[in-house]
Amino acid sequence: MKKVASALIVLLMLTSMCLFASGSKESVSTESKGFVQNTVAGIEGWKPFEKAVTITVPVYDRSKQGYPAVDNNYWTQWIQSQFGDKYNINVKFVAIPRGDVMTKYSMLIAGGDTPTIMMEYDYPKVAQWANDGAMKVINLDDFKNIAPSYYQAMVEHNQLGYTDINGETYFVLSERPYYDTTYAFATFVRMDWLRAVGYDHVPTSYAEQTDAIDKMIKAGLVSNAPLGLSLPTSAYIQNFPFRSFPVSESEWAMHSSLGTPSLTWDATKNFIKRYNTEYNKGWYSSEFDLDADGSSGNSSTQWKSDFVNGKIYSYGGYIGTNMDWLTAFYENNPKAELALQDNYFIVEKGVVDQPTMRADNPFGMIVGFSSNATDDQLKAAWMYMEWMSQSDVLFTMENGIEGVTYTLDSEGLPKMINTEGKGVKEMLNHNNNIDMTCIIHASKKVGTIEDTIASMSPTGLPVDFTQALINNYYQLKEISNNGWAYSDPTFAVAIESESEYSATLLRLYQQAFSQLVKCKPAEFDALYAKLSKEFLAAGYQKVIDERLAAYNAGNTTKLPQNIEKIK
Amino acid sequence: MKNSVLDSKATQIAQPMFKKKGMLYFLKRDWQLYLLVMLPLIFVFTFKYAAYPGIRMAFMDYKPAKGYAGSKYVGLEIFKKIFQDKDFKIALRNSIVFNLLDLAVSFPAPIILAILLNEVKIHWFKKVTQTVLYLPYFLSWVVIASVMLNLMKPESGLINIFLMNKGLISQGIPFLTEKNHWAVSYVLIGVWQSMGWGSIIYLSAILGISPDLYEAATIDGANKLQRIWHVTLPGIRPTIVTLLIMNLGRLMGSNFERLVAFGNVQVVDFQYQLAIYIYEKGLGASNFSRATAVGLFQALVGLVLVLIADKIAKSLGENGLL
Amino acid sequence: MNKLITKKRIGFGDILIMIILTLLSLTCILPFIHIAAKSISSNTAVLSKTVYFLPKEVTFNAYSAIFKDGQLVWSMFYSVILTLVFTILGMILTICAAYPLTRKRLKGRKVITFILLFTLYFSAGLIPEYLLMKQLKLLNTFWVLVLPLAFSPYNMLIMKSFFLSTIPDSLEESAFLDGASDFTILGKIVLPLSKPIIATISLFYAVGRWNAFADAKYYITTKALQPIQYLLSNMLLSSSSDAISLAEGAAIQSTPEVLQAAIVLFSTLPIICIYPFVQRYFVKGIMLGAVKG
Repeated sequence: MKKVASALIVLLMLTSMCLFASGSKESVSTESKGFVQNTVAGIEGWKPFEKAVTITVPVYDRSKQGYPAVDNNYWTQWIQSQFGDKYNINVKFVAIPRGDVMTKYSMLIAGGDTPTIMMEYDYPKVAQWANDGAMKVINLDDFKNIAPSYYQAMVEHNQLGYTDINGETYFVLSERPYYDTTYAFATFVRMDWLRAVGYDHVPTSYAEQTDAIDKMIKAGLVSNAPLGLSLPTSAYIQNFPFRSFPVSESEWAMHSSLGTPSLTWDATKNFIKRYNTEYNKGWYSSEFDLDADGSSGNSSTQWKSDFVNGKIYSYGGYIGTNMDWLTAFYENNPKAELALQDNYFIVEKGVVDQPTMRADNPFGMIVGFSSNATDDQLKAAWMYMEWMSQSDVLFTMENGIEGVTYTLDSEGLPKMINTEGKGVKEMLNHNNNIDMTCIIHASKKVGTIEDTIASMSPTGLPVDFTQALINNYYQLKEISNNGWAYSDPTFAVAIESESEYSATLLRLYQQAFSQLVKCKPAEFDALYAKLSKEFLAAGYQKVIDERLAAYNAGNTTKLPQNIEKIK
Repeated sequence: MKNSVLDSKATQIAQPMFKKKGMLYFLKRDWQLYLLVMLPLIFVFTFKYAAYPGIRMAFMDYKPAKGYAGSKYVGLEIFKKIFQDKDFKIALRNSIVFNLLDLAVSFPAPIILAILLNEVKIHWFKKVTQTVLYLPYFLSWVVIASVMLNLMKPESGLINIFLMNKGLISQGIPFLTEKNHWAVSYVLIGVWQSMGWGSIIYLSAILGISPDLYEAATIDGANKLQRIWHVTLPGIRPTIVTLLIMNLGRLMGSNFERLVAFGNVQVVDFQYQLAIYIYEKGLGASNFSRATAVGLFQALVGLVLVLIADKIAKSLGENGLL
Repeated sequence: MNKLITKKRIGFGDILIMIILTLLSLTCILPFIHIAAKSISSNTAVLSKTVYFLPKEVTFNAYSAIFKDGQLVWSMFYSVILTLVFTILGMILTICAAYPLTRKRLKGRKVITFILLFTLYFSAGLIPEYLLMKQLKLLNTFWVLVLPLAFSPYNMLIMKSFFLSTIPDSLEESAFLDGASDFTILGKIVLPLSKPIIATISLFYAVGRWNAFADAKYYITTKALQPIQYLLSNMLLSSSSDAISLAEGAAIQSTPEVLQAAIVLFSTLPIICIYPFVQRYFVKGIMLGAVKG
């Protein structure tokens, strides 16, 4: 009898716990345990905290010479005085070394010092944090109450599908303006060489490209290989044009990723095969695989310096007002003529039918919150984000003080003043304070896209590329509108094997890339098959299996709808 | 009174084995020595031993967010996975081979250099070369590698261009881009970087050799080489033995910066060593348990090697470490 | 005193030795000359990789930028102080361990040596040590760069070996029998005779602290407390990696090569200058007469 009684009591306890638990999921507040919403949503409803609240915000530290400390400078103090002091919040910044983000976060988490706000650009990284329990589950209604404009921006940018991992809400997302075009990256080509071999325009198809380059080699314009190539140092493989169109969604889910290189995918095979053909025609130097961007502490790669020396046909990079390699190029080659590469130059009927490219994520920083954060800290962090998203605050953060760090031009748009090395106390940190404003958006917007490009256009060169860059944007936008630009999938679960194997797979991919490009064309297929087998065995099989399972379970984003429309 | 103190001390020296002394006796007698050695012991306990319990991470599935309390124990599973990993075996093999090569080449070099420097009679020349020779030690591997690459690239490296221009070779020598060449270059660059610095300790040791011994040798008709062999080398033998034993402990070690700086796809077969393995599969993957496990393995092997070497040295009549 | 020494006659062997040493020295100094040349060349020339040993388009912009940058100059000053404090502490600890452990009469000598030696090969790992520093409230303080590494078993064992081989037992026994305390023996006999080894180990400590920055990377967040080698390493391995550029979709302006070269020289010069000063302590031991009598 006693046994039955005690068993019943235990059963009752368990049942009530379950009931309680499921019951609490219905109500709004218990998810964040007693989170009290303000009566008025948004800034109007904010009140200073009775007891001072401290929040820690991460900020990337790039150790840039000539810049103030990222965690204590004019702008961190400005934030404190304009925002923190008003609401009795201590806004503390913690510097995260840009080259070692995960380890630094791991140490902070291990030591119980998780920053209140945790953010990263890479979805798998934040998914891992959420999965491991470093992040707090949040309630978007609570968030909307405190930060309605931020939330509204998320709605407008269709980001609500990215907030959950394992069915729980962890993230809010910042904006990535013009994410579907890579307008900030431009490749410059030697127009004067093209003219020398009879072209009056940049190649607009692969046939023209091949013809032009082969002619250049024959004409002996330079004694070295005319094109540059470097070893891939990230898993970003530009095999988009080589994929079938429309791409199979399950294949896309398995392979299209910045986390692991998709060596075994057919698209990658064809991508590398083209390089192999080109290499064997003498387009590239045999030392290309020694040239890995960013390694060996050399900020200038061989490719870059060869271009600057006038030996190479093309080189690309992110644009900015101060592009040292372009400046150096013109100094060394004053008579040369440069033009922007056409995005269609890779098109080859039957192999590459359209110049498909990768659209960036439709979001910038993915923002989560520490699992150790109290409700007040959560509130304060959300207030911080809402406050900074106001247009006047954002404008000041990105442009600074009028007359000191920027001036207004005739159209009322801000033009930045170069404050580097001048000891200006109000100087903005790296890239116009992007490491602080990244919580709102991934890049600065200045008026329209044309204005933005004009503000980034390289200065100090004999030629003004602003219009060419704007035209490049139009072409990219056209590509995007045709449905030829799409993002990579994001997963609503953490892909464990990806974090386990990504470093190894990258290394193997680099080796494979080098071997496959350099081998004789006849050996390519056999070598490719062999390397693919090893690649799968080294962990890639596990990764794609896990991804496929997630896809089949509905845990991934889908391809943009308009892909289906174009036939 | 002093005499009795003397007496007891003398007695104690003369008859160490006859009386069984308690620990208290020794503490009282040698308290000053114990006091002295207490200081470093406190440091070592506070800053090293206090952290050792953290090594248990090697036996857990540790996640920073879960902490020690929240992560579960997995026993020897991590070690099993490591030892079954094909990549680990490659890394291990490469590490051992290259550390042995380093030992064989980098160890004698500073000794020879110190002896050469010692023989120099012109004072200012000696001073200047000494200072210049240890300069490479202060350059980070990243800087050294970029300089070396500029020199040694097969097509555009200065050395190859020079040799090809002179018609001595028809094709560039792949100093750093073919794995066997790379092995040689890697080790030799290592010697170059450390020999100047390494010679300092030996020079210091040579200073401790009594000049009388040299005189005696000269009187006996020894030439320069014989003086070196019979006086200098034996004179610094204790230093050589000490350093040799300690370096044996580094047989499982691995220098991440140096390996990464010289790494490229052509030489991965040899360049893939334990430091790279730890980074790729441990820290880089935020898998701290694995990184700790490999570290533990390295440390254990290193310590065992040192103890064995120490025993051997002692049996050969040297002072040894312990 | 027997003055029969070889006359300072330069023989063939000497010339050969000097030639070898000169060649070696050249290989050692040339990289520095290359870096120095880069540091006063224009950025264009350096980007084009046309600077070898002679600077092109000489400009001292890099150096003026360094000196104008309060952070780097402060960091240099700070690193020097740090190294000084570290070396002094390290030497004290090392001598405190090395001397007693050479005395055979010290009971437990082997055990103590082993306890100290053990830490040379075993380290707890990144996270446990980080947590320990946190517990000791040393994070982000000056002392976290001084205390944990101040005692080096490696240096201690070298010093111990030196004491054993250069200071004969008889010297100490005679002092001991004369009633001298251990402190006295250490201070008045052993240390004065050990000038070369003290100079050497001090140099080891100083250079060890100067070159190392792995601890600063994880333990220090405040810029003002960063040693200069850490700042330099960040600039050299600047975040110009593809992955980062891609994630941010923006140019990562890495530190210009000219500036990198200048900072390499700037941060290396002080420590190089120490050796010539230390060299004067490399004198022959004067004790060699003391035992004979």
